[in-house]
Amino acid sequence: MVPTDFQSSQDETDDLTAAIEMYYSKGWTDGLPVVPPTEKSIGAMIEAGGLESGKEITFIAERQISVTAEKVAINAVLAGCKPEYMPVIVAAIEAIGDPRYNYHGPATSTSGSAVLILVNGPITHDLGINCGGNLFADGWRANATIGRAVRLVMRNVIGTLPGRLDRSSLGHGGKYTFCIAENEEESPWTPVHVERGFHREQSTVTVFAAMAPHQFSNQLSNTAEGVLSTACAHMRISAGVGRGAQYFLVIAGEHMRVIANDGFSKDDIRRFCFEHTQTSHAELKRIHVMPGEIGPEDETRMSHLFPAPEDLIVVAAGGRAGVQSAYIPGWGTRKSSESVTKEIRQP
Amino acid sequence: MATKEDYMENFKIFDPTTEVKEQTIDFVPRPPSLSNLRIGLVENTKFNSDTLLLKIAAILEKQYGAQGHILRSKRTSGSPVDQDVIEEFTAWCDVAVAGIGD
Repeated sequence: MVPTDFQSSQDETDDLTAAIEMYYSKGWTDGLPVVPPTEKSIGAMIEAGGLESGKEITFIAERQISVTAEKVAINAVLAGCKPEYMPVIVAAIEAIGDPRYNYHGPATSTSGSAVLILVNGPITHDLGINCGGNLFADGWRANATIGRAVRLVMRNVIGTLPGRLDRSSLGHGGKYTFCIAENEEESPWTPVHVERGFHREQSTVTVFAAMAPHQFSNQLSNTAEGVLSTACAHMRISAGVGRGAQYFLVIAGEHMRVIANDGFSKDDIRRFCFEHTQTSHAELKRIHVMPGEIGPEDETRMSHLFPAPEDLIVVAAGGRAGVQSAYIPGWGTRKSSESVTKEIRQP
Repeated sequence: MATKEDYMENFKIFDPTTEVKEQTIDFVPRPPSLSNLRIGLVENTKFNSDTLLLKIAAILEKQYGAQGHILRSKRTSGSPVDQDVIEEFTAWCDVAVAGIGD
């Protein structure tokens, strides 16, 4: 039965426009108009998640906030989600509440990360989550609204509001929405969720405290080493003073084929990038992201970009045509926040 | 999803926010003096935070009579202090100095 007995306080307005304006006036939107929920649409969202209204999805200890199914459902409707998206949103909320993600750090930091949501498994086809061209951008309802729903939960339920709990200096566009799928159908490699111990038939979300995507191009090389050398050159000094974060490397169609044609697995890509993103202490000091005078030994003392090869999460996604791929630096260090994968449970 | 009839009948506004659970934190009384008290320093891993805290400890010892200090680091700046450090401070220290920022 569709639940209708809600705990949330309610108000009334005269018409739809007034309702939208009221959500604005209360500070309950991300700056874009919202879809005003009804009892029916909230109930449908909760039912699609196989949940009870009062079910706790996660608890954010630093805020002493219990995130309930009802609040997630209201925000999902506000974001424009279809009910069938609810299990994905719930899994993402569970994941950002996982201690390994360490919600409070990336949510409050001046660094201004967003929650990147990577969806794997059959649900990506069922919901039409884009894994192809215009990957990080507009045009797909599932990508646009799932990521937006998670952000609205962060704002409205957990209180992660800019200038208050969220102290981002700049932030980036991914804070509106940042949801992608892996192109498992065309990928020559093992999908992320299978690498992390799930079956290919399971569906998962992986959340990652992510800075903005950095695109790089290479249309000259037809070897794995050539394309990955370009990637590494772009990544090498991208961490600033704080080395030790996890990174995403999103490899699109043409690069995917070039790299795979040379027999590189995801592990080979990780090993190559781990070695080739090292930077000398001398260079880090020259560009003023490491303190101290440059000593003779600094020319040969090397610092890795990320802690270990497995801290590069390699994703096959993006358009078939084009010679662009992207890397995404993580927030902080792996010790302070790491990517977390959760199964999407469908009722 | 909502139909035209749902909206025609009912323009309810549902509050999407959650109230923070109230919690009470008891503070220990502020000591009247630092004389002969032991200082715990919480280092947050940011550049120079240890240097700053040690300078503060030196002032507290030299000018205010504190009796020694220990400095312990958090795992990361964004993490709470580990429980074993809290227990060590509880057992050994009379006052603690912590801070945030770069």
